[in-house]
Amino acid sequence: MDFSRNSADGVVTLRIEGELDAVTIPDLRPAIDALLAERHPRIVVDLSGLRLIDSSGVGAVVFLYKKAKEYGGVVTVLGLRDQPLSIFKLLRLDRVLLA
Amino acid sequence: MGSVAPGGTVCVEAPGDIAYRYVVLRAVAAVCKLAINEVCGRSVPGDGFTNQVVSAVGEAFNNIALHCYQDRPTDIVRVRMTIESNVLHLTIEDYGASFDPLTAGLPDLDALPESGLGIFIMRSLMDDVTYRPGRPNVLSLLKRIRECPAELPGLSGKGTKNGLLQE
Repeated sequence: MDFSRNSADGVVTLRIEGELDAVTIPDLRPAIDALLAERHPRIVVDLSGLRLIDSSGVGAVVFLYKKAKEYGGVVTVLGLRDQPLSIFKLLRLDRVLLA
Repeated sequence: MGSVAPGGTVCVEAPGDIAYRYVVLRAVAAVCKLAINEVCGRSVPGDGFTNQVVSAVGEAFNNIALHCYQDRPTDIVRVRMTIESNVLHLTIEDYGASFDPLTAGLPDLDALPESGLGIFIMRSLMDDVTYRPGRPNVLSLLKRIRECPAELPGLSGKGTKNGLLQE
């Protein structure tokens, strides 16, 4: 799993590639905590390069969404396809999180 | 790609440690490709059948590595996969604490839960799930190939009509 973040026009984009699962979540967690600590009003999670996600990965994205919402922030997800998209649809997260 | 002997079984065994998740899932994905190829005549990357089986086994492996072997010496996880006709049978064995996934309640998806989703994913994606506690615990999964990958040109091939398998 690789991830990067950049900011443009008041939007912070967190791009995650590869696998987002129980193996890789510990590596991503500090980046999520940092985003929340900085209280960004608009966060985009770009998952267009994501190949595989599991319940742990979904939990991390939902955690980011819910915690940002607590301070009035908005989190949206874009770029889902294949296995990650099917998991988001199964969990009915596409109606809440997808841009 | 070669064909699969009817009823042939593939077995992969790994330590029940989360670090071995990808080793197991790669083997599962490879067997799924063989199954799709056997039924449909060819396979394509990212087919739904493979994605669903890999997702389900991944959740089962997580559960064993993170919970069943928690606070006890890590033993093995053994995954057996058998292709019969258009059905993939999997058994996943472990020697950790027993936990019957069929006793888990359904998550309230409207509440956007952050945990407790793995068993729901596994049960939702498989056609049948059974569990037998013991030494080892045995989780059995069954998945039918109901259609061939839509991206395939020439879907009128092996046993299909408009991509759907003939029962």
